[in-house]
Amino acid sequence: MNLLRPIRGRPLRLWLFLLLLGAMLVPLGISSYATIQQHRRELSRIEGASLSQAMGTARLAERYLVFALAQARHAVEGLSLAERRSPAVLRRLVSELPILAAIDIVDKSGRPVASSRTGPDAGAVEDRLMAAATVVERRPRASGYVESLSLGRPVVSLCLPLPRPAGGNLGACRLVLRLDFLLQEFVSQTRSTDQFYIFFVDQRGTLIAAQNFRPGRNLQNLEPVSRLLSGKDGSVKYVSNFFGDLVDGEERLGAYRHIGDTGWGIVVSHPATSVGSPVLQDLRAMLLTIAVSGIVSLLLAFWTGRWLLGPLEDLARRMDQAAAAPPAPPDTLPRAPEGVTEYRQLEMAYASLTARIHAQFQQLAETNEGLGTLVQERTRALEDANANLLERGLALEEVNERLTALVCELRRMDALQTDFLANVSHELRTPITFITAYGSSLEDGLLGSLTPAQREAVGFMLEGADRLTSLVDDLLDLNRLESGVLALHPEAVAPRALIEGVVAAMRPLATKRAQRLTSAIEPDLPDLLADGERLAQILRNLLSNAMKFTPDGRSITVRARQEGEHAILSVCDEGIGIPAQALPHLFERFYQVDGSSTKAFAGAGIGLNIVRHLTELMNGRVTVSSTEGAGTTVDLLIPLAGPAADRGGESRGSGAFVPFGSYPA
Amino acid sequence: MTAPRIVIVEDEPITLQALRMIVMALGCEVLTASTAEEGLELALQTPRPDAALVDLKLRGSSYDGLELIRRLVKHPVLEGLRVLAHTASVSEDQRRAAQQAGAHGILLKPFRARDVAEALGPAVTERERS
Repeated sequence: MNLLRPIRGRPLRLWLFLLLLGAMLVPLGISSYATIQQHRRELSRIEGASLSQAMGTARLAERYLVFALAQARHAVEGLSLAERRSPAVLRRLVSELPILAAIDIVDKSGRPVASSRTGPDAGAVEDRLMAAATVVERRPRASGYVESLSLGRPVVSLCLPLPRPAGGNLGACRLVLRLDFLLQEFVSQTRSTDQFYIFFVDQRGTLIAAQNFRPGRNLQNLEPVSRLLSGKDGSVKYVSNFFGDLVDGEERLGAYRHIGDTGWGIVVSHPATSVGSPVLQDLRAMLLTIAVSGIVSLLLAFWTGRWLLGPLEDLARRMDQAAAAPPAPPDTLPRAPEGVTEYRQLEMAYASLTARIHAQFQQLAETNEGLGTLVQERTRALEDANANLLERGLALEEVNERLTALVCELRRMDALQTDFLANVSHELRTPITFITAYGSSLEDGLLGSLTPAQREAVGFMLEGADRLTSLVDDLLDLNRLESGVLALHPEAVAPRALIEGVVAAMRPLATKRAQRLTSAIEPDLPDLLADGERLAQILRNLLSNAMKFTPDGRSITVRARQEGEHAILSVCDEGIGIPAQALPHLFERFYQVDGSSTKAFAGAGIGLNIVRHLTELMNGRVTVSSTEGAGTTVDLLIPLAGPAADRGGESRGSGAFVPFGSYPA
Repeated sequence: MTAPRIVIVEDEPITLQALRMIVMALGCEVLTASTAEEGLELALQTPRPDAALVDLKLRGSSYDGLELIRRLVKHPVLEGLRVLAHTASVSEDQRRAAQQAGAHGILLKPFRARDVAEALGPAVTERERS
């Protein structure tokens, strides 16, 4: 494995750089934010201060003007009636008060009485109308710039009602004012800097006096003026426009105030930008600081990385080399910073690991060598054995194939045998039927009455037919039992009815030989779990055997009793008995006690074999005991039916007709 | 009183002959057929037969005895007909098949005269009673 190949993930150097940068930038950011907040607060404080300064200036200018107006009014009202009519006196007053440009006096119907002015403009129509209105309304009226224009000079005037010295309305005086002179005088007295602009506007927002400004300009669009026109005093921060202010687009602070009850207003304004610059300077300094921090972090990260990671990378490279090649004994240790404990531990661990691997590797190599020889030896032995086995395997395979073929053949033959037997059974039954059908007809007298000799002959024919039938049946049963296709139908069977039925059917045969055939059945013997038909077959088989080997005149008894979970059905005869050495073979197929060609008793030797098969299929057992010359007892051990078992129908006995269910009505 | 009418279907001539003899001896009128088709035809003749004795294995017929039994049992005209099978086979399957086909009983070969009488019994006695 190559440790130096590209591995997913970010290098530790990058993490270090980011860590250091973060460590520098985060406090910087926090302090910058605090500074900006402070600047913002400072700015609003400065703004507030300069606004209140402008407001103060406006208030001062207003007082200055109001005082000057009050002085002029007082001077005119202090004149006697005669002095009021004297142009000379009026001219003296104008020269004494620099705010005044001229004084006109009118009577109570508005006609001019006297004027400081000489010339045709003394009696301008508008002036007269204003003076008349002042007289009627008995309150001062201030002219606007437009009214003043009719005088030919852009000056504004103030009309004051003049009461008689002793009371009563006499007329009015019109004071033509020199507001620009007043303004300049105020500015020089307050020593305002050039940054301040002071305007006087009339009732319509037209400029009537300003520093370095020609009157007549309409200032209605200027924000402080429009606020003034809506009747308020106050201050505002606004953006100047070319038509109203000096510098277009400049942010300015302005205070606005009405002048007494003249309807005129005063606006004091100065630029707002003068206090905003420090914040920008701070921002620039901050950006510079960030850049410097970044570079410093990068350098620090590079240096730290080299110092911390160099040894680690070195170790990784050495381990990689060690993994690629057989390990060499540890000679040199990686150079690590003296002071780092963890690196020392790593080095020591690596050194001990390398040493152990080296030792194990050497041991392995030695073992390997030994093993190589061993493996060679074993391989040779195995190869020999293998060749041997292969030969034997081939032989075995051949045998196997032959065996398989043999089994197949045997199976085929078995099936053939079963088919053959079934077929033979069927084909034998038909001719037997000829005998039984006609024989029984003869015997029953259906074809006319017989002589005793004829009747006896027919009886023998029928007996022969019966023997043939049971032999065919036995052969077929045996074959089916051995090939496992015979199915039993176990059910609850009443033992008494079954045994007595079979005994009754067999009795005529016994009677012919004067044998006593009886049954002795224990009372209250429970039902058996058995195939009734097959159990009857077993009993018939045993009984015909017993009858065969019992001399005439002796007795044969069928007994039945309960023993635990089973019933024991016994067939006891007083026959010739069976030799002890023959007993173990009695139930074998085709076995006969007397196998000689001169034997006294006929039989194929399959009856008892079928009995054993059938009994075992019913989970029963058959045993035999015998005393030669005294008799034989065959015991059938048959299981009892539990209380839940179905009660089957009666066995059909030995008749050839089997009815299905009940007859139709 | 008319004698009971019995149809016997059997392809083996001697067995047929024996059956005919026994049944006639029982006092019945006998109609014999050696194929299934013939048997069905006889069964449908009037007057209607009282019982049919059908061999399960019928050589030379287009359908076997089982099918004939099925047709006889299901035929709407032949309601009340006593249908009996007879066979030389001892296999349980054959017996069950005959029962499922609707036969009233099965006569196993080899049989004796009294077995035939027992098989036909109800049909004969019914007729005698009426």
